[in-house]
Amino acid sequence: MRIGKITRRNVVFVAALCFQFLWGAARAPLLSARQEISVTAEVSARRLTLQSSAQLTVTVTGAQNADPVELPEIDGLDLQYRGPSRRVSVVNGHYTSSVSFMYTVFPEKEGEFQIPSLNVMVDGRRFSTEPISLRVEPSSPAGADPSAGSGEFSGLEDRVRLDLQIPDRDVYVNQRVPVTVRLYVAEVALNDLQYPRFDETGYRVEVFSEPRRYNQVIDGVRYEILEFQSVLYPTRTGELKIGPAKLAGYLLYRDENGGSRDHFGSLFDDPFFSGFFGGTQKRPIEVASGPEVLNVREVPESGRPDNFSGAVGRFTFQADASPREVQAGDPITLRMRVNGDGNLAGVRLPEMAEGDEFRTYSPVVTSDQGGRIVEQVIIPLQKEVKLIPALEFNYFDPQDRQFKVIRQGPFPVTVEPAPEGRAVFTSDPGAPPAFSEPDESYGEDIVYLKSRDGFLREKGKVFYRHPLYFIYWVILLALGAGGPWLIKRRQRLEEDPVFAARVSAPKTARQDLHKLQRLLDNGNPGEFYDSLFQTLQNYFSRKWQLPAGEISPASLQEHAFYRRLEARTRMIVQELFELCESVRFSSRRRERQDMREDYRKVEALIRESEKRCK
Amino acid sequence: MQVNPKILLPVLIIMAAGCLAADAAVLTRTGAFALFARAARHYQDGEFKQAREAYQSILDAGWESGPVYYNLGNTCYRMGQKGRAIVNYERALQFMPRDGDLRFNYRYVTAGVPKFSFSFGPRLVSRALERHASFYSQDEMVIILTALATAMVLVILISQWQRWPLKRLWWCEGGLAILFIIFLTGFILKVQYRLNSAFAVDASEAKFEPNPEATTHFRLQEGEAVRILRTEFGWLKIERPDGQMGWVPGQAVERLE
Repeated sequence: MRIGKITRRNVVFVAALCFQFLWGAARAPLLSARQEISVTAEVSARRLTLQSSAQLTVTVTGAQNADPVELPEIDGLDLQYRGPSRRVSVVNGHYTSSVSFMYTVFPEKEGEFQIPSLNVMVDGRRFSTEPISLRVEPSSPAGADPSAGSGEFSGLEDRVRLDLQIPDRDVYVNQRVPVTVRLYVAEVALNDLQYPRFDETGYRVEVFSEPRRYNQVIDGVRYEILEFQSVLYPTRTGELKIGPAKLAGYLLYRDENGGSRDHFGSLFDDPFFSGFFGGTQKRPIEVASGPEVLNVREVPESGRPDNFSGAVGRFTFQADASPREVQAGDPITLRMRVNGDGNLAGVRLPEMAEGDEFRTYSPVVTSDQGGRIVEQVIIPLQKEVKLIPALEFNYFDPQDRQFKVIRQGPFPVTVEPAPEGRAVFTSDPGAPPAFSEPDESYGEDIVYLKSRDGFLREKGKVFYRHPLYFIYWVILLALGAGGPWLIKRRQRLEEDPVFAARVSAPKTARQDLHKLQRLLDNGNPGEFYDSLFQTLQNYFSRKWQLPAGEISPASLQEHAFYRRLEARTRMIVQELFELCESVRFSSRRRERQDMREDYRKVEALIRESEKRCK
Repeated sequence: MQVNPKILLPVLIIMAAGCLAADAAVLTRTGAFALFARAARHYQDGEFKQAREAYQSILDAGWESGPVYYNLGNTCYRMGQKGRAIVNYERALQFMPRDGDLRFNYRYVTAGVPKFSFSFGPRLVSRALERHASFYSQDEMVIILTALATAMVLVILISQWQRWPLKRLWWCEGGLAILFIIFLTGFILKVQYRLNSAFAVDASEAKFEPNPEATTHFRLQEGEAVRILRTEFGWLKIERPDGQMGWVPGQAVERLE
């Protein structure tokens, strides 16, 4: 691609474009600030039927920052907010902005309605719309039976209703009670219907079967009917309130927006058809039936077996045992099946009890359609066992109003002696199985491989050969050897001021000597010899715990430590003291060379004192 | 100085290749683990020779661990090499002395094979010391000894700082010192055992002299533990657990270390 030369003309053109864009963008806020603010409300249709809906739009022109309007409650109309829509237009340089809030109007009953004046706050100012009148007319259902006539409906609740029917009101606890729920629909369309549900307190409702659909004319009105069948089982006695049954779904409305009519009304006149071809609105709906009351009784006491299973209804019971020929200690499986129309949940199912002849295990219960299957393992304990006792299942028949027992068995079995060495269970549940002498030897071998490689390390590379380890030991030994000495010394320095002073004497002397050096550099003999005198005084005072003011060559002579110094050193001490006094008090002249010499003498003196007088 | 690129480039290539080759020859830990897994598969398939070669490759590459020696011991045992199995189990015991599987296999394989037992004072003490020495690995003993020594130094410092009564200091230091001595003894025993021990890889004859023509003194069982006393001309003077000494060829036994 060849790029053309950038000429001056091109640059000017681009710059002009940019300037125009920026100028327009900069002016836009100014333009919008100058717009007049107005608020309007309008509906898409003023005449509706119960099967149609309309759209209410509240438009704020000249502002972008308005809040949605809170609509008042209007009896007979359901207004649902759908959302905002913002628009900006620039026409001939004229900038216009607006925001629209859209609501769907669902009529709930026929009649005349008015949407009152709506107040909108924009930029702190209040704006009002004009009120809007609406008329909701009865709908003319397509495909209606001409001979049926048209019913008088006051509202939606007449067109959709739920009915709960229980034929038998006097029942026993756990008795199977048929329940029918019917949904009646006239002149409206419903969609996404759910199965009826109950608040199940004191009773249990089975899952509803697939509903039956049919039409029926009732009081001159043709209804579409959905019929749901199920059963319920009361679980407590007394007066039991059943329901109300509730059913949820969506009500379909034709959208009266002018451009989206359902043209296929004549074909899709079935009210349960959803509007595939657009132009419909959905509104959630829940219908409820009235409650029913049952009188629930306990099964009678008289004639009730001691081991009553709790089952109420009509049942069948089958049982079998296999295998029938076993060796002592081999298991036998009892299979029992209970079928019937009663509630088997919570019912005591038949099982065989532990006894002298059989060891029994806990039964395993499974369910299938209409019944329960019980499997129980038993083990004959003795070869003399000939029969598995009969099994029975008892229940109460509510129709005959009597207790019934179904018996299965006894089941003959043949038990052969167990072979030698086989464990045989005894009748004592606590005793371990009695074994004949086992002729068994255990194999011996090595244990299998390790699956993990452990912590692979380089041969010979152990941490205690690392130089750091040796350094650690050196430090440890040094601490062990020197640590106690250091701690002891520190404690002594804290507790023994004499010792502390003696120890600090050379350090103080060094500081004094530094000061002396500075004075030497300054070259002022008076200050120098003053400081020298003090240095000697401070040193000897600290060293030997003498009052500083009493330090003199004469007083020093009395100390044994002083006498350890060499004679020559003692003489130097004396000379220095006398020199200091003569310079301080008699203005004796001393040259820098002399001062330097004297400084060295003091240094040497302190050094020797430290060496000799520990 | 100008370098002819025609000479420099090939030299650089050769050096780089050498480095790569050197890197390839070095077995990384990941490579060692891969070999370990491969060896296990060979073992599982009954290919014990290949399994042993794989485990040996790991060791030859300079890597080692308890499970490697353990698995090698199992492999040798499966190949009928009881002596080598015992040696490798002994080496594994240096790493994981308390491993149940290892102790079981070791006892199983060495059943009936004479072993050294430590003799120091009364039998009870000897057994206790022997158990103590075999309970810990060498690394663990070093760690414990270091910790004890550190504790002893710390006790001394704390006692000085807190001015403990002397009695308390003696009790603490005494207890620590006793433990230190016990572990030090165990450590020394362990090191000695490791350095001097060997095991007969095959049944062999121990001679009076380091000479194949010399008189046979006694026979060594496969897997029998011996102590190496001297080395001369490729022969080893060994001591049996019962105290008998003799000379065996160097290849008749395998050292633990």
